[in-house]
Amino acid sequence: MLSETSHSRQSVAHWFRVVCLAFSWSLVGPAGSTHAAERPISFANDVVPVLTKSGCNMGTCHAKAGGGRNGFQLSLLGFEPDEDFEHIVLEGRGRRVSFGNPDQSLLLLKAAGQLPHGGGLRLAKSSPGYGVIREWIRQGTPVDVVTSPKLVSLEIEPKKGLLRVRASQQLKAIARYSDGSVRDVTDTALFESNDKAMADVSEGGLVKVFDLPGKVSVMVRYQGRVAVFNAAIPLGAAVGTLPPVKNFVDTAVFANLKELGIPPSPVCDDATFLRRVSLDIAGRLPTEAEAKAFLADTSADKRDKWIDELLRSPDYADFFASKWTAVLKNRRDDASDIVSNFAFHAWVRDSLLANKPYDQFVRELLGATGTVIGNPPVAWYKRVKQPKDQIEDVAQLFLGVRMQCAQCHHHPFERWSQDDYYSLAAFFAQVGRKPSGTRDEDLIFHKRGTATATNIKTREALKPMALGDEVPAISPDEDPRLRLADWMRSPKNPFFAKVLVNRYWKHFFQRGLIEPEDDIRDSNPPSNPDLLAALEKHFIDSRFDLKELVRAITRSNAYQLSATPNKDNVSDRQNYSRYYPRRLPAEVMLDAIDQLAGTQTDFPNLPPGTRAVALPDNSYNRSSPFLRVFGRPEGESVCECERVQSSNLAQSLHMINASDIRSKLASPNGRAERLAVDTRPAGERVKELYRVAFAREPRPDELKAALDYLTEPRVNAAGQKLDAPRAARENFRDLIWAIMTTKEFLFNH
Amino acid sequence: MTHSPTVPQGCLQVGSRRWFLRTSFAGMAGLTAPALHAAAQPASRKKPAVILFWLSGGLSHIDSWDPKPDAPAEIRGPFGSIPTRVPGVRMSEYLPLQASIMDKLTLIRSVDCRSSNHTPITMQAGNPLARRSNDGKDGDGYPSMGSIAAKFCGANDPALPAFVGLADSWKADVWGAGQLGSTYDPIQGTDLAGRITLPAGVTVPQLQDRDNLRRQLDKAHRELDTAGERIDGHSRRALNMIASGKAQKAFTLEEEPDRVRDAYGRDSIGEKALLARRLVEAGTTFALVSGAWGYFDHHGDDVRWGGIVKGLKPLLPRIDRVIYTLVNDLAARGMLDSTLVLMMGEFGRGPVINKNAGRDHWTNCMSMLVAGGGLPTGQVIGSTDAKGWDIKERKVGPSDIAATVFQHLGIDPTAHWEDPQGRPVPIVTENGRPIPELT
Repeated sequence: MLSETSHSRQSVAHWFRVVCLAFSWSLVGPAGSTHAAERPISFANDVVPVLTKSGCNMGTCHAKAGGGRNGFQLSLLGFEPDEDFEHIVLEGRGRRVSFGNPDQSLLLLKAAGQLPHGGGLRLAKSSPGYGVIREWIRQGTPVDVVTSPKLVSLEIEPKKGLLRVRASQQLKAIARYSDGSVRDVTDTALFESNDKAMADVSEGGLVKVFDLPGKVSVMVRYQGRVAVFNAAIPLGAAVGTLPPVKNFVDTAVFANLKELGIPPSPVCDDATFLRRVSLDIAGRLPTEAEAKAFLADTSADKRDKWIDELLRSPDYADFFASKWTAVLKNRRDDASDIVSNFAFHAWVRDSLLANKPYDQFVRELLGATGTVIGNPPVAWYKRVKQPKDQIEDVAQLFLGVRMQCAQCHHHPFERWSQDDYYSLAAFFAQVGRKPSGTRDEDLIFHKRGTATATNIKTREALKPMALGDEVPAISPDEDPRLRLADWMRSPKNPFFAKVLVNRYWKHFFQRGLIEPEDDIRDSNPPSNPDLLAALEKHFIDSRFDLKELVRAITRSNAYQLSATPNKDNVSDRQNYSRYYPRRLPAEVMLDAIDQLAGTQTDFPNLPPGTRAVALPDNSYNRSSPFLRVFGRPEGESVCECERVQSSNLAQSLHMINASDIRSKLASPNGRAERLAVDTRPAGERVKELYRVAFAREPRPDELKAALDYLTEPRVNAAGQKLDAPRAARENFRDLIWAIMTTKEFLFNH
Repeated sequence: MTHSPTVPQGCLQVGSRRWFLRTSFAGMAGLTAPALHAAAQPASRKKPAVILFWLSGGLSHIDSWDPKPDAPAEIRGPFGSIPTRVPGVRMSEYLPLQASIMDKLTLIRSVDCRSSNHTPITMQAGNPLARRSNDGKDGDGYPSMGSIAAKFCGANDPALPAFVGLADSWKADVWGAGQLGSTYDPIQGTDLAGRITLPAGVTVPQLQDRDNLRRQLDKAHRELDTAGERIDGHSRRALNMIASGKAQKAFTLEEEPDRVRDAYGRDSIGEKALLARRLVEAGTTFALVSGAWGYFDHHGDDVRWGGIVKGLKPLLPRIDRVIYTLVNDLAARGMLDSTLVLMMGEFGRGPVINKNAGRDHWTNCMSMLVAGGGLPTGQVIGSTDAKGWDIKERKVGPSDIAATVFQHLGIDPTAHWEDPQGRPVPIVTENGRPIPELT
């Protein structure tokens, strides 16, 4: 049982490490004791922020679940100041504070490194933060948790800015309190950049941008409040003539490029488009016949027509089903899972093929009842069993909200509280299970009753509430999950459509407008908000039509830009001024290799000729070293990041020398064998290979290189000349291998 | 049909017909060889290497290397303890072979694993900042010790991968390169094995010829050079590795006599240990060995891996035998002083036996075993309190382990690598320093 101990604490720790490393007060904070004596120190508003900035109440330190560290516990990030007061002043037999001699307080001795401290030096004796706590103790540890002015808002100044590359910007954090007072809390606030490749921020709030153009945000956090600074970093180059605007996607992408001064690459040629869009929509290369026909077609709308044709094809459904079934965890842990996995995969695929509206697809999944045989989406409840996992998956996948933190504490940089977490979990409280006729398969039903879930901290039983939105009372006979689905599909829902269009945008452009694609929050704004809003509106207006979304994206000239950078946009990674090349996914690559080699891969218990993109679950990874080594996901995570698309040595070894690749090249029914005995001139045969692999004709230098290779005499290991048929066969194997290992083949570009 | 097992000159003669032959394999080898590291080693001394045994799931310290014979039964656990060759040092009664060579081992009983979790990340990185986070940023970009070794030392022989993992459950048991980049990721031994053997009839010159053709055809899309530059590097190294035949030989366990294979044990960990020794002998710098995923996770008889008696008892003889055999084998081959052997898991286990006859996770402390590397032996470093609850003396943090490993490998512990933003990241974090007793 590999259970989790404190995962969410650790992600919090990630944000805090900067603070741990070197703590310094770069700006003027509350000064030493003589000055501070002029006003009483507030525990809630002065002391707790010092503890937070110093990292004392990080999840890995004294806010560690189950007692803190070495007997001293603080609330995570100071969210519960009343508890913190008790821990500091009342516990520890009073040793933690020493009224008579504040410097001898255990709290300060430890923090200042005067006594051995597991957390090391946190607050130098000379630091203003030390002074604040010292003065608070000297004043007799006044407690004002109830009476102190409440923080009502946090603002950042400036809110946005236009920064040149390698420029800096000092930020200021301003706190407003319920008594009308306003304080500069820059010193004790915490700053974090959302893209560290673009901009970095110091503990004191000084932003430094690097040399990548685009949009970047810096989040500031203070006492549970969050504010965001948005910076645009223009490149400032002359943009010149833009490609024609084909639809709203182009309007928004090109407006952004103009604003930032990034000239786009030109629209790509027909062959590049054909190969690119076929791989992106249908997960396959165009056939040689398709390539020939497309290149010969002279009609003006041939690209649009080809997109429609791909969307009508079952290949589209196969490819997108492989994407969805992985994040919906269609995973084979046991041989008997085969029944539910096949049924679930077929349901996803058929839904996509029929273009079932996305909201209906999600509704059928969330509200599934019955057995996998009668109603396949029930299989999701087999994979994702606990209400906790159900809401966490649903929130991340369909709402782009990471709720994991809020199970145990207030989300550190979001508005989600534990109440939000458990009232969302309440929607799944009445999911009933009983054994069905099929082995290891439960029957899922709505258990009549009033749905509630208990907040583990307050022990309060909470009714269903959808991320802060009230839902009207749900009668005991009604399945609350359907109410959740209703809430999600409302045109006013701020998450549901947004996360889907962002996910699909990333599918086609390799980078989401929001990154990661399933982490939507105010503190992580999109790189092009107008574009995201336009996509969202288009998707909702089309009644959640997935094919229409794909059509709108791929018809745009923005999608059809060349991957070749110009001298200005080479540093662009985020504004879509050119197509960003990406290695083919494992399944697509295997199918493409088979197509080029003229072979097929057989998978156990599936009809011969089943393509790798059509595989129903992860179990085939076991029998296919190729799929494993090229990173096909195992369906373990709701995150698409489980799919690995980076390269490594094992992949290169595989391409050079693995038995499956070798046998494809040498197959008696394969293309090498066929071309070796083909009587057409060698040039024609080379051209066939180019049309299959790249949907284009070879250039003269490529043709010459290939022909030279084919005509040069070939010797064996002993130096003897091979006979002509044998030499031709081996030469074509080599030529096919060389083509399939070029980057032009391995990448979509 | 024969092919030459050696790379450089011979193959140039045979395959003299095609392009680019002047850019010889010898040159390619030069590209991947970490020249500095190699040059720094005196010719007579074997290059340093590491074999790390990963006890996935977290070995119970009280039931293995830190017995508490005087504690109450619920803490002491079901096993007795035995004396070892070093007076005053006791270990579990199920580790008699290790006890018999305690003079060649060091036990560390005070490893601080509070930053660790059910993850290989923290301890394999030797870095308390490298943590499991489940938010897609696992490890926060920090690399494992093996990846640092791959970057700073390279392979001891360029025909071998620098960092090899031998594990059944790759994602769960092996931590990779983080932001150091996929170039320094461990190579999966199981995947490697089938891919480095040239089939009958295929010759190195033939591979070289078609690779030259590939490079010729690859010129079309220069814009892919950036995205694909890693692929080019990997292809070069892969070809080099296949051409030399050394890695292939290392994987041929059948070359070992039966008695050696029996001595290591014909189980998962034994075979991998023998393979690790062969890889290190051939030129791998860092070999990681893991059995099954989580098989030391002995929560109790109600879960998959069982409790202490049902689950751990049958496993102890395996790790007992494998250390005993490896240490003796390395010594017999003159490799013990150059090969540092470590055995550890992600954390210790609870001092009090739970209601299911198991022990739960315990991150306050754990025990680990060290051997070889020419380091002092026959000692116990640190201790826990009478209940095995907490560290009593000589706390050893994950970064102290990393500093010790890097020192053994001849890597400057103050060295840095650069993250994708070009910022320096120290290879040893949190003020870790080599464990004084091991220097």
